[in-house]
Amino acid sequence: MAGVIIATDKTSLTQFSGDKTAYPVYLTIGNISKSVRRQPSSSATMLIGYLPVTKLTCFSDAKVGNYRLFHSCMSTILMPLMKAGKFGVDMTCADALIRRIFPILAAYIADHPEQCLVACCQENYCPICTVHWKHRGDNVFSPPRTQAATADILRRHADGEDPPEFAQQGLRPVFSPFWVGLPHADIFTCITPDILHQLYKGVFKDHLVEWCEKIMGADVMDKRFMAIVDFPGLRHFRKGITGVKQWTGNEHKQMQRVFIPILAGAVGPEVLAAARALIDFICYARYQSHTSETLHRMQQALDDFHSVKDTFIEHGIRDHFNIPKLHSMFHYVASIKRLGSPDGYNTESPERLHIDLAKQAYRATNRRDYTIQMTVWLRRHEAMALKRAYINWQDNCLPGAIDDSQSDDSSSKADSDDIHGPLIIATQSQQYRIARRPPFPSVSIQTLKQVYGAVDFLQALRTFLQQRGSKIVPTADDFFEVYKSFTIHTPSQPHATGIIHRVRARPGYSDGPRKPRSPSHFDTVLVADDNQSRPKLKGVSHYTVYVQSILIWVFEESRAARVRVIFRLPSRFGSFPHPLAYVHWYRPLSTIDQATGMYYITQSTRRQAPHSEVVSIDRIWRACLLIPHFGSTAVPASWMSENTLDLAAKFYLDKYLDLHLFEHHEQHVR
Amino acid sequence: MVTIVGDLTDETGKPLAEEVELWLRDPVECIERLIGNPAFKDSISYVPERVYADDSLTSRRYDEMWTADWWWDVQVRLKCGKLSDF
Repeated sequence: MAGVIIATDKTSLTQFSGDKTAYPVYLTIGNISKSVRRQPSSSATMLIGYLPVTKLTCFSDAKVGNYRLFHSCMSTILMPLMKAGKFGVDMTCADALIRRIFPILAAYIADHPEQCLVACCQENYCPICTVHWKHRGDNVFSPPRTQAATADILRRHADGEDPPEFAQQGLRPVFSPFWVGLPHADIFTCITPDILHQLYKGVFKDHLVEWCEKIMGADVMDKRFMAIVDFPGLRHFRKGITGVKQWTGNEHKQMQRVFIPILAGAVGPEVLAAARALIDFICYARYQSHTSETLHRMQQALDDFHSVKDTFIEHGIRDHFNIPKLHSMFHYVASIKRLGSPDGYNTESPERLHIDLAKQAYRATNRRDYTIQMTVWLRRHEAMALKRAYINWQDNCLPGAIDDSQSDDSSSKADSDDIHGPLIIATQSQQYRIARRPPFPSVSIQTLKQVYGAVDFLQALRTFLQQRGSKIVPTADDFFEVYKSFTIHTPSQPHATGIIHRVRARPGYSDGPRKPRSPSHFDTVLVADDNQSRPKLKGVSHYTVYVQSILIWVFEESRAARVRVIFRLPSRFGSFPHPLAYVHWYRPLSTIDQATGMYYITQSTRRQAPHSEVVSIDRIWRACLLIPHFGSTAVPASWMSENTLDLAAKFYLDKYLDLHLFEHHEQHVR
Repeated sequence: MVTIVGDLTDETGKPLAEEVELWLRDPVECIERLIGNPAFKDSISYVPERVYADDSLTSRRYDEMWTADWWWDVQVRLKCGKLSDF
């Protein structure tokens, strides 16, 4: 059986002027793993047609005309699927076996207006269930639309009867919807969640951010966004968020990572709880893999939101929650159970395909009668891609190539890094990477103290060496080899892909008199307890064990710290397997703020000085983001992104930084 | 790629008509190309699965389309109705 996935999305072909649009229809199959389907270069998605785009002046109601035209075209395109789905077609599969394949429509990827178009309903109705538009804000179950019932109502309407359901369900007069004859398919269950439009742009940006901005004031919100600590990979909104004009999925994701700690203190506890529930839900929706348990928590987040949402009405922000996008969240859990996690049905992927299959093709034409030229262009490109794939395949079959692929994967990877990577060398545990030669080969203790802020460096290093039984005592005249940064590689987990954290410890510098000075970066990290030996990643078979063990000890046995110096000892001090880091500790993770569900973090001091220590860098297991505890007061004017870590006294450990941290929090901390 | 020019005429009460172009290719042929592409050999599945996240088989895992319920259900229906080769 083949689960057919169809996606349609109208797109404009020209960038600045003209109303030349194309309406491509894409097809792929659910048999192919979603990680492959997602890559535009894998050509796992094929263009099966261009729908006509026209103004339809011959209809009294252009909307109805569009609906009919769409359905009539789609049924022409999908006609062959009817027969194939009923009787099956013998096909040669990728593993060279012949199977009888039943292609059956499984999913339809589209944004809200097109979902309504497919479902033949008006745009203020839900395309999946028969909820009345007045009740879309309620967390109640309504009977789903079913293919048979809807087709029956439409047919009776076309026959001149006037069934009461027609108006109740907000249908539009379409005589022959394309999905009527498709075997085994129910179009209304095929409509998949659309994270980009529904959650990022809809629920988060248009509603939640808007509401919170009204409550706390745009100015306050901007100030808080500006004071967020700079973190590698996190977009820093230098001018606040209200001025941002161009919103992409990425901006939304970046904002969601820090939104809750920014709200904390500035809005009431109910508003914060509602916002938390929504952000939790969005995080769950982004999971690449769900278990029964995560789905249960996802549903819980939605229920939580509905139980506190009335607070927005009390604040006078909303009078109702009749919002189609809020309602769409209701269908997420059911859809995941039916068709798998929503990242496989992302509307971003057809939008990416537009660039290859429509926009580039359009540029190759002379702008007149462009559809026919585009089809020719695409046909040629597809032929070229096929030939290229064949040549590649043939190359791989040559004897030399086979030898290469047989050699040990990991070692060949490390080798190639040694040769080509100028700085990076893979260490034995494969967990962190650092420059092979420190960029600053001799730095005095005096410099470390003044420029790096490593006030107690000498004392901490003495303690470190004593504990390891070294007889040599470092003095104030010693020099050290100092690094700028290193990266930590967190392996993939089922629900989220692996991530790479960069940990920096370097003072500000300036490249020249005319260039602006780069600010200093001393990043914050989580450090595992010393007595916990770090599990080593040895081979694929140990992989899951490793992932689980890291999840278990991580929070209970670790502390936050700020890295001041990353360095290596000269060889006369003895040999140490890993480079060292001089850190300033924060207090142990113990108190959780009930309102945000995040750990409080404060600086740890000993005798009026920062509590410092020298640690081996293999104990540092990930970077973390500390967000100042703003409280209910205004952000002090002196707080800038560069210095909040120094100026603020109390922080939150941001749990929305990435999905790894989020899932761990939800599993163990709650 | 096969392209066919489909001229569709639409009318409401008034006998006004407009000719539009529709470009299409056979979806079944496309599916055959996709399923038979040897590049996808290692990342393709032909049968539904139920994947569990724990040993006691109480926690289901949902990620790819073939690990979710729909595929399983339709496959059962197909089997009851007609012959299938799985």
